[in-house]
Amino acid sequence: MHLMKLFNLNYFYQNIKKSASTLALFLGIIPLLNVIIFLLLANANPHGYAVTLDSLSILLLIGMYIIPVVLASSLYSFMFKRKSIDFIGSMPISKKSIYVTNTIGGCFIIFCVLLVTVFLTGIIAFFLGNVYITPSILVDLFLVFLIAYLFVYSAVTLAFSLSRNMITGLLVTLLFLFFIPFVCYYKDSLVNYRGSISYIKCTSETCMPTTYTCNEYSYECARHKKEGEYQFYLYRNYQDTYYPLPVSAIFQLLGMQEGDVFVAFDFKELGITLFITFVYFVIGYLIYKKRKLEICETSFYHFYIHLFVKALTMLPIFTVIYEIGRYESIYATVFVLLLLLVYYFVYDLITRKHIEQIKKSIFSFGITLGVLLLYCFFMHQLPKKDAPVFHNEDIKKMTVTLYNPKKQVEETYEVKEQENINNIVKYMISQKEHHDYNVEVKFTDGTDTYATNILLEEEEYIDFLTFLPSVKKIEAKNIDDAYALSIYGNFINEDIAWYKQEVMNTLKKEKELPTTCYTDASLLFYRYIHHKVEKIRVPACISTEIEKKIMEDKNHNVLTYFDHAHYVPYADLITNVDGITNEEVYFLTEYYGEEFFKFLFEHLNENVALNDNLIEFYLGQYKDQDLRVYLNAKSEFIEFIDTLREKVKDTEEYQQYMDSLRGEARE
Amino acid sequence: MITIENVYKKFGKAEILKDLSCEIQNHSIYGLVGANGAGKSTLLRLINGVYEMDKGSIKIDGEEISDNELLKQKLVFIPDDLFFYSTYTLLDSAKFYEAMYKKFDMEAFKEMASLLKLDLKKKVTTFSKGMKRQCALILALATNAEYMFFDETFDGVDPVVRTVLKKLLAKQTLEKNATIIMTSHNLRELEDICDNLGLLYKGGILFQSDIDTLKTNMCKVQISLKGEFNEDSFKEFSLLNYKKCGSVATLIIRGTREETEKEFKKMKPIILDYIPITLEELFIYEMESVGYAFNEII
Repeated sequence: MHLMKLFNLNYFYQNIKKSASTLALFLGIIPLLNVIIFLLLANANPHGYAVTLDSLSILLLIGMYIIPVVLASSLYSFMFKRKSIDFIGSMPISKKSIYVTNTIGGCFIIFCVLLVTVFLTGIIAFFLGNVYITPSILVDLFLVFLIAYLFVYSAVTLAFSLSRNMITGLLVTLLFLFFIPFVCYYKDSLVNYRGSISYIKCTSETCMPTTYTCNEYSYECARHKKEGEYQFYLYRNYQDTYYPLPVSAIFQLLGMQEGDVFVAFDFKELGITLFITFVYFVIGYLIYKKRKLEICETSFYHFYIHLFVKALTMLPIFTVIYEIGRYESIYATVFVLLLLLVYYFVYDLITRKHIEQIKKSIFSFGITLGVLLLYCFFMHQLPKKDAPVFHNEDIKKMTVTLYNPKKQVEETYEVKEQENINNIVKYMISQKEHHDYNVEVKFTDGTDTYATNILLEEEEYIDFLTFLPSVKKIEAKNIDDAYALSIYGNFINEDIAWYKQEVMNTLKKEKELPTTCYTDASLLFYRYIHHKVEKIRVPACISTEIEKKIMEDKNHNVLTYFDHAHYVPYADLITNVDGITNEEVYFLTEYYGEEFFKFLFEHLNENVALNDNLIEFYLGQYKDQDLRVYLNAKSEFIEFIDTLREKVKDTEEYQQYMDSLRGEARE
Repeated sequence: MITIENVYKKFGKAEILKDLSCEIQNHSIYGLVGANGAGKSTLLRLINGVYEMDKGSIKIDGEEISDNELLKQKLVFIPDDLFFYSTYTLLDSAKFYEAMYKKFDMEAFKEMASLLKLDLKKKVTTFSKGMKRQCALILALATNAEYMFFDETFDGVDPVVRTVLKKLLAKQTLEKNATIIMTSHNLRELEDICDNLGLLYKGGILFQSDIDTLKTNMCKVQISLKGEFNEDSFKEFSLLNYKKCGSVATLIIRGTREETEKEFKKMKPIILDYIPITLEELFIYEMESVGYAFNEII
């Protein structure tokens, strides 16, 4: 069969033309709103933001349920009214041709809408300057949503082929999209031990997840912690339940399913979605070809199919009633049952335009309730899956993410060697409250993925790094691929090329990091690789030039933006200075803010020297700018603080403050 | 030629057409009459492939209609309940037909629209009922389809325009050899345009004939004879109906005027008038002759 021979361009054009304004409104609104949101995001982040699939997804996700439905409703609108059936049915076009034309044409329109959306996004990002995006993101965005939109379109098409009026068609679409995932979800929720937050009790050899959620302030939680049971975030391993992409996206949005990212580019998930789309289109074609056009303006040709579909639509509501009935009051159950009865009649009224005989309806309602009751009862009888006790050997893989590694090494590592896994587990069960480093560890036992943060001190961290397969140094070419760079959360626009070049030159020299870093700033490069945004963090002290430039730029910003008149005196001391705590600086600046800022601006200079006399202050944020100052005046600052101390030492507040500090130290 | 054989169609439990068979000759205007619910519209929808029959076959020029795009190029159907896209002007509608029908004649369409004073740039849905009917008819005529089907052809059209439309239909048959099948429950509407008539009753064709034969084979005569006379006085004639009012009797008789006039003249009538017979009367008497009460059928 040659599909293109069945495609009737004239008919397609006329079919679009007849509802051009509606289609233009609904189909145009997504690219338009996307542009507006993009502009708003750009406006809200004057210092830029790097675009990820997530940041562009929300609107397209909403569009996923609007565009295909509006499109199919428009293209197949004639099928549900007797008058229009006479009109189109008598035209010289076969049913096969109508279906193929609407299918290919509808897919083409979706293709165009997404292409325009992606194109506009790219153009706007290009002109805005402070929005960072790479063409690969746009290509992936286009592919992911094209497949998702086509899936929804195929479901609506199939539903319309089966149904005899539009409302029934839309209900059947919802069933096609969500019924099986809902049944699976309901079953999972009944039989699985999984909860969104679980405790997991680990020894050095075994781990056992528990089912309940724990309030961290409770005594029970404290006991768990004391006894070596740690709260690990339990990821539902969404990779093992492959729902079609639009469904998993909605499940993630509703918090019913967890995933690393809002919309994942996953080949398997995309493949499944594409396969189901194809199957839906083919089944739709076979049904449409045999469709008797004369039967319309009702739900289905056969009354029993109507009853069956009505029962299916009642299932999600009934499962809720069942759970209420099990755990809540009988009155609540009766009330919701009455609502369901009303739904039962209203459904008939809407979909068949009349209510079946009361006696017959009540009888069928009773039967439906009975069947649904049996279903829920049966589901509750399914054997529960207990939480597995798994040994370290069961851990197949660990993914370790180093936060702010302070080394020119990559952030994410996969650990598969058993010995290293065992060593990491030891760190998981002996965590510290005081720490210098934070490491995220995700591990999977083949079924579920768990995640936890390990807090490490300097020495432990160095030891921990030895468990990683080979601490990979950042490669210069990866930096070259980066499409965005942020420092202290602010995106760098003008100097990105300079930073990239400087980092690459330094990396090529394969120098070790200097032992002294004058700032903890790091360069966060964004790279899009393997369909994901990868962040590469490079410590600023990799190069004295970079460190110096960051400091001088920050000083320049303070000199430019800082406004004495409208600024509340407040400063955080970032540099460690013997004998002066940040709390004391904070206390003193409250009293002598004016003097403090006078001192600060006396020593503030656009040229910074990297030496031991360097001191760093954080002054908060101004118009999204991180205000930091770097002064070559550490010794002067110590003297300045001494003078302030002299002034306040006899005050009651200072005495109380010093007492409180001494008290804390004793504890 | 349209050949319909044993067509059976039911909706739910209601049998609409029951083993209906008939033949419709080409290049003529065929009128299908019948009471409401007789199955006229269903039959037209079946012929046009809008509906699918449960049993039987419909062949047009020897081909089955079902999902046959090429054959459908030869057919155009205007249903009783008209449909136009709400956003379309008359010209847009014409462009739609032009896109669907290969032989659509835009010039002819514009001429007909101009003749009927229909505004091409106005949305069809804003037209009156009769004007919409005119639009539908000229759109169909402009397709130059070989077979044209009109359900309740002149519904809502005023008598003046109706005459114009009848002329256009006749022209289509004469000049373009089109075959027109039109339905009505009003015989008077069809009598001066149809060549053939079929009467649909309870899902089947009860009676069909060409009008010329019907009309020439039946006469309506007003006669008055000297002295007393009654129905028996006309035994020699094939009398279908006899009514006497005063001294004048009105007879419906089978036979041509030429044949019957000689016989009447032999009776030396005081009055002998041949009155034009209406199609309705023809049907009434034909139906009565085969044992049906026409008034109950239509």
